[in-house]
Amino acid sequence: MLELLPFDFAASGGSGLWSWNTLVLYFYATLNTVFISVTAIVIGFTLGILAGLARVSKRWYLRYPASGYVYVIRGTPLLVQLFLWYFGLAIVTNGQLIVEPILAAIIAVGVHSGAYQAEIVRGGINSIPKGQTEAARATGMTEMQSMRHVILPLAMRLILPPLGNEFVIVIKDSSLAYAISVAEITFVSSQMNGRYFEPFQIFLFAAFLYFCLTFVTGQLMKGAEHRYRIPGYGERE
Amino acid sequence: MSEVIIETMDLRKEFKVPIKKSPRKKRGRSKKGANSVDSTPSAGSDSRPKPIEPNEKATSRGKSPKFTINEVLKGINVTINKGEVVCVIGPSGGGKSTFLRCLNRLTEPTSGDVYFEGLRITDPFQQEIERARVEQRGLDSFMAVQEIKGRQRAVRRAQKPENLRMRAQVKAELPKMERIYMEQIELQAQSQVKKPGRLRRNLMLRRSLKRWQHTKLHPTDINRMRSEMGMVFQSFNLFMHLTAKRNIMLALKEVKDLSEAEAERKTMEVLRKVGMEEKADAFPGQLSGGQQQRVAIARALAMDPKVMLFDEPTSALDPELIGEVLSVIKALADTGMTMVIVTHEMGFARDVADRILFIDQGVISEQGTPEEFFSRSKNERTRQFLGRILTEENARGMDVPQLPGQS
Repeated sequence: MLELLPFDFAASGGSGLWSWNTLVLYFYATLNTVFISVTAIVIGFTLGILAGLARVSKRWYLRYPASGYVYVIRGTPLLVQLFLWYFGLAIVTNGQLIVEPILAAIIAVGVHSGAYQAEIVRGGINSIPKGQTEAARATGMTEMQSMRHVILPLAMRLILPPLGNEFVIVIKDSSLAYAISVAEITFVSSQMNGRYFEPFQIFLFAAFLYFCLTFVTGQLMKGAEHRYRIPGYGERE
Repeated sequence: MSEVIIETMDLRKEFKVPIKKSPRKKRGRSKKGANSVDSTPSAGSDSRPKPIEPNEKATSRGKSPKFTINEVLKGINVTINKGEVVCVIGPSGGGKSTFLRCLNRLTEPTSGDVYFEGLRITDPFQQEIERARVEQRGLDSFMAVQEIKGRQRAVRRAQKPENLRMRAQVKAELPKMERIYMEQIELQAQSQVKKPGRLRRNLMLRRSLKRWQHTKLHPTDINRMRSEMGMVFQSFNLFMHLTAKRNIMLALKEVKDLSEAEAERKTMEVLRKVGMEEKADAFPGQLSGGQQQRVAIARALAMDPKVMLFDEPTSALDPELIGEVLSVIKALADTGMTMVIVTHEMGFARDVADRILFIDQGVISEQGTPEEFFSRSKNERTRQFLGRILTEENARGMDVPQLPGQS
């Protein structure tokens, strides 16, 4: 069982909306959200780099599949993809492969984010001035070497801001996992709402939790930007 | 004995201009249209070789071609000798930079050859691919490119030493080629006043064979060639995320496989040469234009190049920064480095050059020593150009020669 929720929360209530039990429940829900988001970000980043590189490749057999991946994933709603991973996989494999809800959520969000990150990576690589590649190639480096030592390090620094944006979106997108009953913040909130019917309080608290997560992510990305800034390059006084 | 270092033969470059744009633009380009290879035969003003065939296949099908081919360079034949400093000047848009970039294939010429120390740099397959990309469109272009790549792969496979059949074939071919070259050399020797001795003849033979092998069998490793040809760009193009030292060390470690310590030693040595060793740990963004260009020169120099190519090294600099860069280049020229310099600095060109090439509209319209070129130019176009430039430089108070017949 992948889910971190240790008990059946139908039995957990009993002592009011903002009891200790509720907070514990939300703690585990937040853990689930963080778990989905972080794993999805890792998957998405890996897929994004690979697909982004493939999209700028000269080889058609890399470029076209990567483009197809990006267009298909970008062109369909995440909720639908989520259902496809969760129910569709079971149907296609004739019931042989039934994925855990949380696993389906991780895969769906990760693959979805990968498509967007591929576009970010592609944009970053394309925005590096042509002269940088030429200078690298003129010293005798191969295409791979110039990509690895010159283009990618520069591009990674340039795409840090949009990448941070994407990470925040992943955290928020993980809330859709509620539809396949993964016990993350939104799902727990809606369950609590069904029990106590205090929608404003409950969802305000959910929003607060999401904001905390995204704010921390934003600060981390800001730190990364500062850490990897290039002295004298692209600085605004 | 002057060894041929770069020998460019019939180097042509066509570049792509989309023609599906508004007709107004097309008319605006009609001045250049004389060079364009459309369905109409070009009104060649000289007896240069005709540009490559226009795209008949595409037009005959009633499709409009994707691109019209516009030649930048037409029939340029230059030999650059060891130790020679060649300055390339000419009006903008005349093909100077394209010529320089074709020398190390940063720009792929679609026909013509470049030889470097007797080895062909240009890759016929690559040129064929380039042409197919320009001349055909859509799926046709894709299929054509795949077909060419297939042949290229077949050749590469055949060249692998483990392919015994090919090796045997080469062995069988070699004596034949040897004989042919021997005959050629004998013929040459008869016509010469002084008959080459056995040593010299052997040398010639060996070089011919090596050249034959490379042109016919081995595709030249362009990366190795480029590592022996330093290039300095107009816009410096230092790697922005690396310090000056790291900029230079990167290629030394990656291409030359030097160890960290060796690379660092070499780096400091070249930085000292250009007077930048105290700025070794500065990022390019923290340096002035002149300092960046000096680091860029050091980067090219660190690879121990056999020839240096300068693409307008001072054009992006403030007037007071030009001097420091030019003096570095001048010092380099005094060490006997072979150099090709595209420049707009007439005074500098006159000072440093052994030979001057004037490239205008894709052809070398004149070449000669600086004295000949600046004072006794026969070509009307050259005189016009020089007159305009030199009066400008006079107005700026620069030390340049006065042209006779120009006030």
